[in-house]
Amino acid sequence: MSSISRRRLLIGAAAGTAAAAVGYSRVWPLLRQPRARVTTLKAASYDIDLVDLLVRAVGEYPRTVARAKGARVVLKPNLVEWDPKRPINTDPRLVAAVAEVFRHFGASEVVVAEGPGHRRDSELIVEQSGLRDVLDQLRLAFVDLNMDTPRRTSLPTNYTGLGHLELARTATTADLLVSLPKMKTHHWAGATLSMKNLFGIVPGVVYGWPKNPLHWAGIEQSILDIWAAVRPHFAIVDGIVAMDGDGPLRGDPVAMGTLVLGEQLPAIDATCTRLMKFAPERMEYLAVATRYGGTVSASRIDIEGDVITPYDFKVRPHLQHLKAG
Amino acid sequence: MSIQEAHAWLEQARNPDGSWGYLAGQAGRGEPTVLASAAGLPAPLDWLRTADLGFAILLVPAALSADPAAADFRKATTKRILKMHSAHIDASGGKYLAQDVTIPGWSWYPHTAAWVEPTAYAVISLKKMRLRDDERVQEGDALLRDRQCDDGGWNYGNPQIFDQRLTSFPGPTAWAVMALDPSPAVDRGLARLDHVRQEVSGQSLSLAILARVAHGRAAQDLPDLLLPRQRPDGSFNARVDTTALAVLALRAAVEGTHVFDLTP
Repeated sequence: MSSISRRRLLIGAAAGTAAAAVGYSRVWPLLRQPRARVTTLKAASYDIDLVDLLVRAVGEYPRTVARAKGARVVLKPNLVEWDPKRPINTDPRLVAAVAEVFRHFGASEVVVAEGPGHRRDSELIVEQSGLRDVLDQLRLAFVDLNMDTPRRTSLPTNYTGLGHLELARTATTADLLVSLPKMKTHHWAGATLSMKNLFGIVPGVVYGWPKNPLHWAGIEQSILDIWAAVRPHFAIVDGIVAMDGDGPLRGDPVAMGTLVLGEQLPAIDATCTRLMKFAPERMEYLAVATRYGGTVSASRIDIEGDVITPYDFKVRPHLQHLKAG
Repeated sequence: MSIQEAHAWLEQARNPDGSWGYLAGQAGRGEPTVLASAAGLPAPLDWLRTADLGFAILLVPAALSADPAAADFRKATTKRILKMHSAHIDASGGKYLAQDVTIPGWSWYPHTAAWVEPTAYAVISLKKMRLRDDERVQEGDALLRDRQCDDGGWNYGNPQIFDQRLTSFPGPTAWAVMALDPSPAVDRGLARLDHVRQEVSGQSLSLAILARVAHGRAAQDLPDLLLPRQRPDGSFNARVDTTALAVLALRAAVEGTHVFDLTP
C-alpha cells in the first residue's frame, strides 16, 4: 500500500535504527528466523469429511493437542460482510469442522467469536452467512467481539504508535485462540490471512465500524501490533474456495481446494501468499514480523502434507509490485 | 410476550450504578445506557454525566428528549457535539473513493474520519435541539446525502471503493433516513428498508419501524415480524441495545412517534 511507506514501517518505535537506514532487504534476519512447520492439505470441497482430515492434521501438532485438552478454545473466523455470490467469509462448514476437531481433542468449551468490521448487526450477518445454523446444530456459543468487554493490552511492537489497544477479552483470555481466516486478496494490504484476521478482536464499541483508528495508524502496522500482542496459538486458513481480484469483499471465487494450518502465523501467511503467487518478502508486515519470532523465508519453513499448486491470484494494479516474478 | 416483559428484562439487566452494558452483567457503556434511557427507563444522569460515553454522546440530546430532568445535560452535550469534528481525509486517501471527502461529519473515534451512523446520530440530536439551520447540521445532511448507495440505502459510509459500487444494509439506512428531512433520497431509503423482510433481525426490524414512523409511515407488518424474535426472558437477542430499540419500535408502531422522530 503506497500510503504506508516502507520507511515509516521500519522506523516504528521498536525498529532498530540500523535497519531503518538500510531497508529490510539487507537486514532480513534469515538465520534468526526459527524453523516453522506449516501443513498444506488438499480439500476439494466443504462437503468432504473435514473433521477426519483436520483431526489427523492437527494431531501432528502435539503442543496444540496438549493445549486443547480441557481448554476454552476460541475460534475466530472471518465474518465481515455477506454477499451470496462471493466467498467473503470463512465457510460455516469449516467452522463447524474445526469446532468438532477441538472437541475431539478434549476442549472443555468451544466458542465462535468475531467482531465484524462493517456490520454492527451481528445477529443479522450470523444468520445471513449460514453460521447460525452451525451454531445451533453444534450448540456453540457466538460472542460478538465488537460488544465484548474491552481489555487494555499493551503493544510490544508499537508500530502504530498507539501504545496500547483495547482488545476483546474473550479472545485475549482464551486458553487456545485459533485464527480461521479466508484466503483472500486485500485491496490495501495485498492479502488478508491469519494475521489480518485479528482485526476482528478489536471491539467496535471502542473503535467503531469500521475500526478506523487502525486504518489511520496504518493497516500493516496494526496487523503487526495486534499479532505481536495477542500471539494466537493456531491458525487454519480456508482456501477451499478463496477470493482474488478486488478482495476482501468484491473479489471473485478461486477454487484453490486447500487448507493451510500450523502454529506460527507469519509462516502460515507466508506460505499462503506463495500459493497465491505473492512475494511475501515484499509484504511489509510479513518482512517485519521476522524480527519478532516470525518465519517467512521459504528455506526456514517445513511444509508438510499435500503439495498444492500455486495459483496466480489477480490483484488490483496498485498491488502488482507485491506479486512474485 | 410484550413491551412490558422487555422493559422488565432491561430493568433487571441494569447495573447497580444505574448504567447498562451491551450484555447483562457487563460494565456500563454509553450506547446501551443511552438507548435504554430512550426506551423509557429512568436515565442514570449521575452516571451519564461522569462516564466516558464515547460516540454515544452524539445520541444524548435526542435520546433523553423526553426526560425533563436531563435538560441541562442535553444542552451541555449539544455544545460538545458542535465542537466535535471528524478528521480530514487528504486527496491521496480520497482518490479511491467516489465521495466528497471534504464534507465534515462525525466519527466513531476522535481524530478519525466521518461515517454514516455517528453523523446521523449527531444530526438527529442537533435537529432535536432546534439547530436545524446550524452550519454543522447542514454539513451532516450533506455528508449523508453524499454517501447514499445506488440501491437507495446506506452502508457504513463508502458507496464506492475503487470502481466497485457497494451495497447498503439496514442499520445505517434506517439511521440516515431518520436524520434526513423528507426528500426523494429519503423515499429511496425507505423503499430500501422494505427489504428488511429478507434481512430479518431484532435490530433491522426495530430500526426499520423507527425510520418509517419518523417519516409518518405505518409500521405495516414489521411489528408482527419483530415480536416473535423476543426471547422467553423478555429480551431481544439478549442484548440491551437491541431490546431497547425493540421497545422503542413497538411503542412507536402504536403511538406513531418516538424520541428520534424529528416531526415538528
